[in-house]
Parts: sequence; C-alpha cells; structure tokens
Amino acid sequence: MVPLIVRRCWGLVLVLLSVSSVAFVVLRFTGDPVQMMLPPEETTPEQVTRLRHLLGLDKPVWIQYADFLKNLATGNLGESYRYGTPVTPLVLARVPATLELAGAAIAVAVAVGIPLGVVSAVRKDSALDVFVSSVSFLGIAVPVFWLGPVLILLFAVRVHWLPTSGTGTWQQLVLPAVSLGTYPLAQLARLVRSDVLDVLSEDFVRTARSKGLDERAVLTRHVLRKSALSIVTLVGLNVGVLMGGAIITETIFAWPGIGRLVVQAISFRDFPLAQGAVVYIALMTVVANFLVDLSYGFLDPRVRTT
Amino acid sequence: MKIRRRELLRWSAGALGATFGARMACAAGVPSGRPQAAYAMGPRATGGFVYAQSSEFHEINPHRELWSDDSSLHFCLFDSLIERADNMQLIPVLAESYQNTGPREWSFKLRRGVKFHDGEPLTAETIRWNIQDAVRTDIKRDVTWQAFDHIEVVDDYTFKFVTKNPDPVLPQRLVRFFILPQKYYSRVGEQGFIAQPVGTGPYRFIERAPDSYVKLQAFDDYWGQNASLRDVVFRIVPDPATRLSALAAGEVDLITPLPPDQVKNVNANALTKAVWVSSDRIAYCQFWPESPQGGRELRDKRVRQAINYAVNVDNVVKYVLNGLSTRIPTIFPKTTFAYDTSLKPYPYNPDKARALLREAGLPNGFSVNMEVPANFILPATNEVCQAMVGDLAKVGIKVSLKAVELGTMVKLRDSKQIAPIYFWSWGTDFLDPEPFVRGILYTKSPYTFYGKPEWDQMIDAAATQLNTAQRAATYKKLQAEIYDDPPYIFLYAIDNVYGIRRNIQVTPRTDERVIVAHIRRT
Amino acid sequence: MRRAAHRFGRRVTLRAVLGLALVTAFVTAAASAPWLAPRAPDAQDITQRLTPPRYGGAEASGFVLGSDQLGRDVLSRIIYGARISLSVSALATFGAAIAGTTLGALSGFYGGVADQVLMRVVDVQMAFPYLLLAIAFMLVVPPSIPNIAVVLAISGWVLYARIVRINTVALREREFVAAAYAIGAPNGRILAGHIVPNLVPTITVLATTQIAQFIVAEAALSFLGLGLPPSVPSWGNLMNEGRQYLDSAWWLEVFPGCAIIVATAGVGLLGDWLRDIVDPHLHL
Repeated sequence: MVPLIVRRCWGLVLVLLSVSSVAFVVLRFTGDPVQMMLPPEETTPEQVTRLRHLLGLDKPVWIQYADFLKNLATGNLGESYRYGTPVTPLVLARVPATLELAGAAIAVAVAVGIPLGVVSAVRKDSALDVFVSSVSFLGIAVPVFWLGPVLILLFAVRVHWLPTSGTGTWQQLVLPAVSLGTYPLAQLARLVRSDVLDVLSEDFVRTARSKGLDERAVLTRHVLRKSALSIVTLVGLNVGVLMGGAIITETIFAWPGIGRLVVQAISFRDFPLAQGAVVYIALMTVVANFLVDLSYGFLDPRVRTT
Repeated sequence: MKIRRRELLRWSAGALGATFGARMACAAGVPSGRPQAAYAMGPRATGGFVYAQSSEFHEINPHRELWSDDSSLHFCLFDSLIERADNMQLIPVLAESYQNTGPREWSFKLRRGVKFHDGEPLTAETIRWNIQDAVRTDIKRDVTWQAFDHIEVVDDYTFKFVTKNPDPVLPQRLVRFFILPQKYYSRVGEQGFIAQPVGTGPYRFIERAPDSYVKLQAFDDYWGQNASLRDVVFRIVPDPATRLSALAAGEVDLITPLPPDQVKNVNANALTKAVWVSSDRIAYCQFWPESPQGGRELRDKRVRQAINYAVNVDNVVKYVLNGLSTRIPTIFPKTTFAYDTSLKPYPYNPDKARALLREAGLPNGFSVNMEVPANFILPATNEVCQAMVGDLAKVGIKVSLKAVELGTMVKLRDSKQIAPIYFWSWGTDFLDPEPFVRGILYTKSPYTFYGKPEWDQMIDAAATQLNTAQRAATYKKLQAEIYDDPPYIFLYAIDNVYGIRRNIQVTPRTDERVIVAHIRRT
Repeated sequence: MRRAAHRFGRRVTLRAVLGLALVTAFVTAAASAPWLAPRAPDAQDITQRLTPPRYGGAEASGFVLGSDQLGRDVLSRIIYGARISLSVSALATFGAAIAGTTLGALSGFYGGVADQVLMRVVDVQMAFPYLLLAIAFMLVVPPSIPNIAVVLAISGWVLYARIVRINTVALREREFVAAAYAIGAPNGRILAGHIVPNLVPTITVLATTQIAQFIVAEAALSFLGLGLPPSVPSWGNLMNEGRQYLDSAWWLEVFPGCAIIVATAGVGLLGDWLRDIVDPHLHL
C-alpha cells in the first residue's frame, strides 16, 4: 500500500507540473491579457506599457516561466489580473459549491440509477424495463443545455415549486443536481441492468435462490457486490470529471462553481487565475482516480497486488 | 466611461446556456393571483429589490476599475464629485458647485456635512488623498487622469483642479471618479477595503458571496435623499435565458440587457414589461484595405461607398433588431455633441452600388474576408452580419464571414492580423465625439485602420477648443468628410433595453448605467 | 468470431432495427440533401423571417418547419445540417480511433518507456481543461469542418488509447500470440495480423458511442463560440442562433434539438446492439 501511495504521489507531481506548464504555454499563445483588461475606448499606449510592466508581462517568457515554477513550488499561484487578489482563495472559494453540486448529482445518479437498473433487470422485458431503458437512452442523448432550461421552465416558471437558479438553499440545489446527474444516472442504470442480468444467470445465484433465500437478500448480498467494481469505476470517473466543474450546468443555474471560474479566467486571459484553476482541476481529477483505484483494493482483494 | 466588459465577454457564460426553455418561460407568464415564490436569499422574502446581472463583480475598489462592469455596485456604495442625472445632464454630487475659473483651472466647492458609512467626514483633504491614491496606482484610468496636472486645496471645502492643457471635457472625465474614505482605507489596506468596502453612497455593504450575490442596505445617514428601496441584492445570473426565467418567475425585479426579440413576450406577461432608451453605443464595420488577409479593393473609396449603398441597414434594424436600434449616418450617435442632423444615412441602392463597383473597375465584384466576434455584447450580431453578407452577394461581393472568439479577435486586431472588414462596437459615456474619433479615426490610435492626416488635425483641434460653436463646426466638417470617404460600413446605435417587474419605476439611461438609488417600487 | 455471429442472429431486436432505421434515414437525408431539401440552405428573405411552421391549408407558407431569423428554411437547414454534423462527428471519431488505437496498441504491445510516456500524456490530457485546448487550437486554424473534427478528436483519442492498450496487453499473453511468436513471426506481423484484428470489434463499439457524443459536442462548441462559421448550418450553429429567438420562434430551437436527440439515440441504439454482439461486458 505505501509504495503505491508514494508512486501515485510522484505521478501526481508529474501530472501537476505538466498540466500547469502546458497551461502556461497555451495561455500565452492565445491572447494578451493587457488588451483584455483595458477598454479600447479609453486606452492610451502608455497605459498598455505600464500595465504590461506591472503584470511582469514585459519580461522574457522563460523568465516568467521560471518565476511561475518558483512560486508554484512554494504553493503561491500568484495574483489574479482581474480581481487584484491572490488566486488561491479565489479558487478555494468555489470549491464548496463545486463539491456540493458534484456530490448531489452523484447522489441523484446513484440513488435513482442503481435501483432502476436492478428493477429493470429483475423484471426483464416487462413494460417497466422498456420504460427504464428508454429513459436511460434519452438521459444519454439529451444535452444538458436543453435539459436545464426545460427543468427551469417546468418547475420554476410554470409551477413555482423550485427557484430558477442561484445557491444557498436546498431547493436551489435540486434542479442543477438533476440536470447534471441525469447523464451518470442513465449510464448507471444501463450498467447495473446488464451486470445484474449477467449475475442472475450464474450458478451461485440460482443456488442461493433454490436454497430459498429471500430475493432481496440475493440481490444485495450476491448481485450488487459482484457489480460493485464497475459501479465504483463509473462513479469514480464521474466524480473526477464533476469535481473539475460543470461549465454548462453552472452557467445555466448561476451556480458559483469552479467551471465558471475557469471559463471566465480563460476568456479574460487572466493567466494566473486560469493556471491556478487548471492546477486545482488536475489535482481533483488525479485524486479521484486514485481513490477509485484504492477502493478496488477494498472491494476486490485480488486487485490489491497490482 | 462605460464599456461593459461583462457583456463584451459574456460568451463565456451566456453562450453556454439555454434553449427553448426560456421561450416557454416567457410565453407562460405568471398567473397573477399566485403568491410570489420566496426562494431567493432572505431580502427577497422581505421585499428586497433584486437586480440580476450577467457577471461577477471584479474590482470592488473603484480606483482600480478600468472597465465599467462594476459601476452598478460602485454607484450604490460611493459618490463622485460629478455624476449624470437620468436625463444625462451633468450634476454636481459631492461637489456642491464647480466652474471653469481659468483656461486650465477648475474650481470646486465641496458639499458640507457628508459622512462615510463609518462616520468619517468628507473634506477637501479627502479629495486630495483620493487623487493621490488614484493617480498613484499603476492600474488607473488614463482617460480620467491624462489631462490632470495637480490639485490645490484652498480650505476644508474648496479646491482647484489644474489641467495640463485646456480641457473642455474635464467634468465628463470625473463622472466615475469615486471618493473613498481616507482614514478607513489607510487603516484596513486595499485587501481589507475590498472585503468590506465603505463609501459615502446611498447604500452600505452588507455581504457578498463570490460569483453569486452582493447584498446592500440603504445608508440612513446619507447626505442626500434616502434611497427608496431599502434592501438591495445584486444577483449574478450569467445565462440570458435563465435571467428571463427568473424575471418571469418573480424572483428578480430587473434584468439587463434584454434582447430586442424578448420585448414582446416580456410585455405579454401580466407582471413584467420592457423599457428602453436609445444609447450612445454604436455598431460599425471597420474597413482595413491593408489587411494581410486581403481587401486591397477597399483602397478605392468608391468601393467602400458601394458597400454602404449595398447593405440594407434599415431592413436589418427593422427585422433583425425588432426596431430597437437607431440608424446613424456616420459613427456619431444622435445623443452626442455636434451630431449633424443634416446628414442622411446612405440609402439602400444596389444599382448605385453596382455602378460604383463598375467605375472602380470591379464589374464582377470581388471576394473579401469579414470577421465578427462570436457572442458579442451587441444583440443579434451574427444575424446582422449574415444579413449584410446576403445583401453584398446581390451586388457581386462575395464575403467569407468568420465568427471569432472575442479574446482571439482582440489579439488579431492588436497584432494587425484582422480581416479587411470586421464588425465592432464603440461607446462611451462622454456623450462627446472626442473618445469616438480619438479611438477609431485618429491615425495614431492602435484601433484605427483607416484615417487621414487632415482628419487627425481636425481631431486635435477640436480636442482643445473651449468655444462650443467652433468645436461643433469642426466635428460637423469631420462627419461630412468621413461620410464621403467611409472608413466603415455605417450601421446603428443600439437601444438599452431592460426587463422589469411592472411595479418597478426605472428610467433607462443612455449611458448604460443602472443606478439603483434612482429606482422605486410603486 | 463464431460466437459473435451466433449472437448476431439471436440479438436482432426491435431496438436494433429502430437504431439502424434511424441511422440509415439520417445518412440518406444527408447524402441526398440537394434533392431532398425544399430550398437552398442559405437562401435569405429577411421580410419572411420567423414564419411559423405551417402544414398545408390556406395559410401554407412553404416553410414546413418554419423559417429562421433571416427568412431561411429551417427544414432545408436541418437536412444540410445533417451533412455537416454527421460528417464532422464521423471524421472526428475516425481520427480519434486511428490515433488512439495506433498509440494504444503500440504502447501496449511494446511496453517500456514509450508506454510510460504515453500513459503520462493520457493522464495529463485527462486532467487538462479541454476548453483551453480548444481555444488555443481554434486560434491557429480557420474554423472549417476538418479542423472542428480535429478539435473533437483531440478530446476523444484518449478513450481508445486506454482501452486498446489494456486489451493489447491482455491479448499479448494469449495462446495464439504465443504460437505466432513460436513460429518466428516478426513483431509487426503479430501486431497487424493477430492483435489489431481482435481489437476491431471493441473499437467499432467505442466508435458508435463516440459518434453520438460528438454530435452533441459539436453543438457545445458552437455554444462556446468555437464552432463553425455562423453561416454554416450545422445543428450546433442552428441551436446556437435559435437561442436568441427562443420566445418568438420556438421552432428554431426545437427542430434542430430533436434532430440531435433522435440522431444521437439512433446511433446509441445501434452501438448498444453492436456491443451486445461483440462484448456484453464492455462498459464505456
């Protein structure tokens, strides 16, 4: 276990270093923050020079990169060009909302997707099964930039059950969580259905059933345990992605998450903020993948050796 | 001045959003007998006023603000010496009066008894410190300070501004120079001030959640008339469709900007309506005959005239923009000083365009590239450009239209890689031609792509003419010249459109500002 | 293989037929757009803008699915849009599959340093915000169909690389590969003759899933302002432009949206069926 963690930490450092370096280069290639910060209507050439000097953008790029690495090593991500405040608190301020939304979306997916998958497998080819399959199909095919506004229309404008957008109360979490959770929900339902069908046809389940074990006990004890590995993989992948922010969902529901921050930072060419957010997103993705791998070990001892 | 970066850059957010939901959201309306949902933050439930705008506040310290994104908040928290009333008249605010006492000297009398939110009194010394602070910071608005030389404090309530050159627009320059509390700021430092801003304005700061909302409350010891709305919340709602839904659902009282196409539906709702006013923000297409992407044909002024004749701008305004824009003959908006009413916009005349192209030796037309920012600040930009491309095709000009991400387009413009025709917008709250012509017609400006030394001389002359009639004459001559030798496809000035609850009284402002203290509820 | 053929017979279900029918319909429509579409996709008549859909009768306007903000025929634009959206996503899938499979197979087969490097690249790519790459890429190239396909492929190749690599590692240990080694076959021939053919079914399944994802992703790029030029009637552009006319003209948004959903579902159904034949345990 310990060597594995050490190896992973080394991998993490490598990924963070490469990701931030790629971001550093790519960002400098895409535009000029000074011209984005200054409104052309009221800009003088002296102002451009002054601002460029103030932000250190007049230095050669390799010196800027060296400074960046030096700061990164001490955990200093610099100061945002737009906000004029340090990057780290700006990024951290978006983390709770990001995690809240990611957690709620995954919860919706797990709480609805797994039972749906199990039920439709147990009642294979029934009307219910067909219904669940169609729903999971639509769930995969419907883009979130459609689903979100439709939900707002139905539940916030037509009937006033839920608010359109914003954050702070549990009601405001419902629609974004459902919009964001629909895709993983549909994936999970399909995955669990096919897993359960496979397991149900196996001998040990038939034995268990013939022993007169309660159907529910069979399902939980044998079937779900068997498919836990693939469920964890799927959920883990989604957690990794969602913790990096959900740009479209956050935008539609005015959710103050990391996805919006990174889009804004990129579109304003706020280099330090974009780099900081990219480092955070990379960190989250790598950590999520690591946790998934660790959980394999607990779920299936055979994997632990690798 | 006013350029709304949040709008300019809203592609990031707005572009991502929504679809047919909002259509039905508007059509559906809100049953009028229904009790209002009270979901939003606390103040909404207690009758607070909620204003939904598109992006986060960035520079809470107004002295660092370059764009005017955050001005709706700044106008609540702070006052400046001079502001514009809703009818755009310049009015003294923290200044009690001001006058031009010499060619380079302006004398100000300060209002007495003004207190900051923490009780600190306002004196001429505070103004001196503010100027020092504003001029000291490296991120400062040159447009305010480039003409400024020094300040002389006469007594506690009297001071003089001395400018480097005679400056006819000094009052306009000071419109967004907000006054900060010297003692408080010195005590808490810049980061402390950003966390808990204090000013003399009609509202004091309560709390802020990043990328989500800012809460304010009326300041009881305000020197002027107390604000009518006591609790105010600014909500950040990036997606335009969601903003509309929030208005229809009764969660917010005011949204800006409202796309022209939404007006009918917002008005169809029993609880909401649209209001608008024509603005000083113009749309134009820049010609650049020397572009590395081609366009040498545009060197001939007949070709540029032909394009202006070939494009049916009236139809574009009428159909694509729902009539919510004002056709202008050149780049001078109607609201600006010295607008020449005798000039009539180029009429739509494809035959004349073809004739001009023949004269210019291009009987079969030509091909040219055109660029437009994707998801721009102005409404329906892409549609406007596509309509123009269709019109130009009818006279044989084949335009290849590209939509370019805004930051990329800025880079193309500044590195002189941009297309020979590109769509852009310009607008300032000076209501004076100086920033327009200085920015996009003066050949030394980096944003000018077609100009002449004679025009430069006229621009320089008008900039320092204190005699109003002389200045007006110079600008009128300039308008006639650019009309004849067009550096642009002349288009229109947009209308500022707001969506409001019907029980809200607000005067839409030409300068694109939203001043919450002027809004009331009936 | 025989087992797969057996399943093929057993698993021709209603869903499979439906998926195949939908995909065939869309591909046919795309291929025969000039004959099928009632008008040219870019024929403008601004005075006829936003005409609602009419279904014959006295008020027949000639716009079956209505007209758009510039008076263009929505139906024609959707039909031409099928050409663009389907070819963009097919091209992108093809590119991603070729790149990912090549890299994944080589790295899985040979292992060693190259393998390590590739896996690090995959890690970095997966941890990197795609948007930034897309902006950077679209900055240097013009927004054409092949270039949009490349942008999408950049996001897609990782999937193939990972799965192909794992499968290659597994295949390398199988008896028939050992046998090929035993008779002295060179590496290249083993890779091309024994390993890659066995990967084809898996790649095919991955590809069908991805085509569907790319149809949606093209639309998402348009939403971000990184898509095709505005005059090109891709489904993503149609939806993006329709956004501004949500209230006054629902048909601008609903019909292209339906096209996206139905096409995606069709490809998805087909992909599911293929997966059931090839490997029911393949989870993507």
